[in-house]
Amino acid sequence: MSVADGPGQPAGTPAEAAVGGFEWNDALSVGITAIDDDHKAFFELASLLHSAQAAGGEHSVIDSALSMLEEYILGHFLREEKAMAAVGYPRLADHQEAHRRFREKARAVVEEHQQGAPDAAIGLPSLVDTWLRQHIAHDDQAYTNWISAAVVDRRPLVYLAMEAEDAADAGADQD
Amino acid sequence: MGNLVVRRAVIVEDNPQMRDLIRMVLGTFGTGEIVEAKDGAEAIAALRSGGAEIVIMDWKMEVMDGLECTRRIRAGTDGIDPLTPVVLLTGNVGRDSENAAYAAGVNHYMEKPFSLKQLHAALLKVLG
Repeated sequence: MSVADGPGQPAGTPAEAAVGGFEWNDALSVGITAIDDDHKAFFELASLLHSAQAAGGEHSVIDSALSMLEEYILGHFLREEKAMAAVGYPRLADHQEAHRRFREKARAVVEEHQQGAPDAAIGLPSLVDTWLRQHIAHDDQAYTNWISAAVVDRRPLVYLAMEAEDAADAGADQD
Repeated sequence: MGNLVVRRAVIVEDNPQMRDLIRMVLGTFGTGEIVEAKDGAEAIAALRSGGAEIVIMDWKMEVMDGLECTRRIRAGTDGIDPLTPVVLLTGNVGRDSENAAYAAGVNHYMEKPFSLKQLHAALLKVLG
């Protein structure tokens, strides 16, 4: 099962708080601390980005938050995909596709921001919040009958992010 | 890639959202205690009371800026360990800024914006 992306924001509109308030809650737990911690970090980062935008958008804060968001996406998605692959989870391909689509959507927003489009990233905090809630509820909960903490790479997220980047670079080199 | 283990870190930064971002990053590295200061004077007080294994320092701040704070650390002010590692994370750019920072005694100079990977590399460099 895949999940639709969340709504975007028209240019020039002020950042709106997400319906979920950028807060994790126990109902979102998948029962594995490392993965729950990643999810909590996503909500916290989306909240920070929203606050920075609402406070006037200092570029160094927003640019740093966007870099971190893409790294969090790479690292967290790799953590989950490695765990699913380790147990032969039958819906791994579908889950990877959902990850790929969101990763590309986030990349497109960040690129637009980097190219100087005003307010390009205004809707990103809400998008992250909405997408993540739906993805956890529909896609992540589906793997909880298959994976346990024992098969999850529990290293800090930065190491997973670097591993994912290295893998992507190696793949690009072979093209 | 090496694993970082930091018991106590001090973030010195006047922008609250930037402080939060740095705190998040240090948290993902597994840092034990993270103390936040909004200027160099608060940082000196925090270091005097508990020391730190790493200081992430902004440059332009009211009351006491990052370079002055670094000089005072290097002078061993108030019993602070003069060898306390300092990573300067600044919105300034250019070789002149970098030279001034190293002359003040910072261990590593970084320009904002930053990424997880960059800050991790900086910490690995200064903490060995």
